[in-house]
Amino acid sequence: MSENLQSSAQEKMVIYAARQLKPFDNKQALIGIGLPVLASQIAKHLWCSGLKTIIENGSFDAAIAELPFSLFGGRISYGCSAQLDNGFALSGARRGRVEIGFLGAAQVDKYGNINTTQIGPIDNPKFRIAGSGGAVDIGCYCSNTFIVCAQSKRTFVEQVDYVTTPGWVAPDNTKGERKWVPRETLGLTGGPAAIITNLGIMKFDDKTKEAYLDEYYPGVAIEQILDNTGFKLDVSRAKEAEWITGEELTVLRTKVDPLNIYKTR
Amino acid sequence: MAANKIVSLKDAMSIIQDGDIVFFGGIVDGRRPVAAMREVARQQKKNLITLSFLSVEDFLVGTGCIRGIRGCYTHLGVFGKAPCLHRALAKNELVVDEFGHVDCQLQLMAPALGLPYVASPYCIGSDIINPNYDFSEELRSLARDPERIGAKKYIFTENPFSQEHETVVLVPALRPNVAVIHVGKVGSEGTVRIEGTQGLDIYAAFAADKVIITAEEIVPESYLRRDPNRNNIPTTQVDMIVHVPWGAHPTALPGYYDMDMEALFAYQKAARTEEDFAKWSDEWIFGLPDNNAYLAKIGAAKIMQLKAVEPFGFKPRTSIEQLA
Repeated sequence: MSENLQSSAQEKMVIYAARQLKPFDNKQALIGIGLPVLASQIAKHLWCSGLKTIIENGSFDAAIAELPFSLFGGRISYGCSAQLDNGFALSGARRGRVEIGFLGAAQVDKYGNINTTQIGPIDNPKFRIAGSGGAVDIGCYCSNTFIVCAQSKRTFVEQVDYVTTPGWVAPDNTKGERKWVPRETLGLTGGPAAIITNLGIMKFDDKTKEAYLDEYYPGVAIEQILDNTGFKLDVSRAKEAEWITGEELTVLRTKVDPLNIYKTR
Repeated sequence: MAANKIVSLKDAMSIIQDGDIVFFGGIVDGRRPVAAMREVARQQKKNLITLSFLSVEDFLVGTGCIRGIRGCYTHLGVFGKAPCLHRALAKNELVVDEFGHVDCQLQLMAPALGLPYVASPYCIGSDIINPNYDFSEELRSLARDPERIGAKKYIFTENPFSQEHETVVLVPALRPNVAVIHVGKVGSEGTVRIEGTQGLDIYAAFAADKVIITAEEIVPESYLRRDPNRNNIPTTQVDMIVHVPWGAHPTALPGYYDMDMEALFAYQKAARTEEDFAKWSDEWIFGLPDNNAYLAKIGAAKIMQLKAVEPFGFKPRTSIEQLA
């Protein structure tokens, strides 16, 4: 299907993120507030009604009837299987039961290291961001971590100022001098699976562990993606992503977020 | 005869001393003890260290009460930056010691279960465990009892049970002086029933020296004891009980009311400059003697607009039939 439907950049990001969940029906996903909630709800409606969502606040197998603004209110708790505490939820990845995690990023590098803690050099930080929340707990151990953020030279950087959540090659801080090592040598499992942006989808090379452009959205030029990336990006494997379908847009606009709570349009 | 634990909000908050480590219950914008926080501001406590999340208590940074936090999150959720926090950081008046989220729970779980420290794998590969970002000394210098905070944020060692030279990260126990937790129902002797997420509250209730429960309703103990498996904190851990209807406003309380988005956006806007924050805090904290005055100011119309509906525990935006 290649109809040229009008969709906003935000809608594209959410729908392409939702498509990443297609292979994961009946698997467990740790889901955060914002775009991840939207993406998981679209995927549940269209492709994987058996997807089990776990929320950072300890809501297990959440059944979100009305889109929440907060992870911590009644909209998240109502109808879930059990409402426990944060530790039980976030330790799911470490226990090996959680296949999917969704994280945002203020900065991300070619190895998928994420910074959500502070901008500026180590000894002279310019300003603080929101902090890890549960990102580090999710990203250290989830089989597949999906990173969702808008793409620009400011966010896609050669090296993040602070590694909140480790990517494929991450800092070892435990042996004196800070040293970059492959994540598996630190005992971490899983790793970043893809970065989904407003322009395209990056994946990570099996050997070099560096990000490459896997798909660019219809109407987006590869040049545009390179202009918004602060590290060297391999585009030799890039292909055009499948057009967004009317069905996907309808589900987002009429079922998942009918009141446009998240202002994706 | 059971001791009477029911006190006024003023008397309850008066046990918090300058330099205390205070745990405020709930998470970010859910089930927070905000009425208690406003009383802390009115009593002008100093050098407080808080734990886990700094969100709506941003105003306690602005009023000079909170000077340190060890936690994983310092943001106002969908409402944006915490304005007072950013001003205080720029002026070097606040210490933020970044921690992992599970680690926030483990540092309370350790003292709750009587452990000196726990081994945690949750921040390996992150700069959270980078010794250059260890602000334990700064937190200790604020604390009334510095020994409650480990000399280091993390210690690295080898797992003595493994033959494989596996590195483990040790997280020290951190015992709060006071835990303040807001819930829907508390029994007259202190049995607590939490609706919605438990957050880290149960661990904090077993870790802190003193535990204060503020609640929407004080109900007969016998009512909650009919179904003890549904209760979360026992009387034995609770020192003081305060009746504070709408005590979590403007945050959400599952089963009782929704988040007041309008009020939270208004705060985020008002707190952006020192002048506007001073006006906001006069209007909403210092100009109001107690919780009744606060409730009168919110008004009945707003309260009815936010009030939760059975069986959802929130106020549906769409038709009830669609959701049921």
